[in-house]
Amino acid sequence: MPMLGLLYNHAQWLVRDPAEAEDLVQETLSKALRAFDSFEAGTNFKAWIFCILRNTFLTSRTAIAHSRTVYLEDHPDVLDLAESGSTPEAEVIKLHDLATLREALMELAPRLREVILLCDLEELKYREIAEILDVPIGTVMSRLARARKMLRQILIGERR
Amino acid sequence: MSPDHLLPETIGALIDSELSEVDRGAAEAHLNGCHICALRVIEASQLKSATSRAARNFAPSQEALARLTAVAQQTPSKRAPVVPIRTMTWAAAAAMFILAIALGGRMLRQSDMLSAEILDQHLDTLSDTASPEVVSTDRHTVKPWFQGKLPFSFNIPEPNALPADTVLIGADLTYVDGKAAAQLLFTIHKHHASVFVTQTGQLSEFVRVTARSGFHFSAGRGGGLELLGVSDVNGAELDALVAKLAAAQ
Repeated sequence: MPMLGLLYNHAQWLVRDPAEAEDLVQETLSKALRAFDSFEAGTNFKAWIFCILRNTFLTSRTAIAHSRTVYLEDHPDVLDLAESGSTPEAEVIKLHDLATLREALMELAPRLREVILLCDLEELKYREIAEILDVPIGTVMSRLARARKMLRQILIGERR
Repeated sequence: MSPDHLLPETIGALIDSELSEVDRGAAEAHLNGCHICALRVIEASQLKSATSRAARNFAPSQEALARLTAVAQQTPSKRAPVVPIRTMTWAAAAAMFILAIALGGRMLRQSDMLSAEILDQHLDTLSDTASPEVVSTDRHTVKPWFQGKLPFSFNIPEPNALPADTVLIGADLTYVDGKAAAQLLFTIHKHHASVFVTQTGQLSEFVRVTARSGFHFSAGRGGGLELLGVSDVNGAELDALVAKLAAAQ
């Protein structure tokens, strides 16, 4: 079942534990079954169920513990979007090394990681991501830009 | 960062295919003359692609997958805190849920794309400049026109066998989901309706969307053919037309 695999993968990125990820997907499925009459035919089923997954995660013990984390994106002066001055050709990004890239993804703040996963991995539209995260589309765009910049900085080893 | 360069959000929206046509045109015009931004776009695309590969990292064990599959296959009526709803509706919802889970949402997306495609084609026929390739109320003119143009044949009911105040006004040869199809044009009262006729199994996914942008959709099958109707007339009258056409095959 492809969707189960996608949900499980996303859940484990959120909770970082196989057993908790399974619990999270199981609870998501239960909620989705109970609420399926609210699903609007013709809309994106994937976006709908990922929204349930995220809302389920937010009420979980892990998410409540994580909520005490201070996110860099809440301090734009710390995480300035302005370019560092280096040109792309001067930067060597280890894109061929998937293990390094996974570690870099794990280092991202959860809110930056989830937006990049929903966009780059799940290929959801900005509008759908905005609905899942319950934020305006402009926030999705700025979070994505921050996430990608941060990821790049981690990969080239010049994180400030 | 120079104000002359593309913003990171713009580069992101460009590689995510989220820019409007106008904004994309402006960005591409800039990229033609800006080596640095062009490199940044390439780098961003590579990062996006690599992120996608790296992020697909966790898979449930066989045991966990079996447990999750069992949960997904439970019918909602077996679960405790359920909203009261008729059993048949729950059965249909549960079946659709399992199918959606199994197909990863592709079924719903494809059906949605198909409805968008036939709606676009129907809207094209409504413009003042649109002229069907066959303009005729005579089924004996319309049907033979398709000979040699389609890999199948179809029937059109006698005018008096069509629903009340429904008139054939013409037809077009068209393509739906990349496959040759006949687009039959009708008026129902003062509303226009299109019914697309194609071979069964030719469409990637039969349309399941019932309404979109104020238009109704209706699907039927008969004689090895699939019929997809679209109109702004009420759904019941469109269903009646599609059912008559399906029964005639």
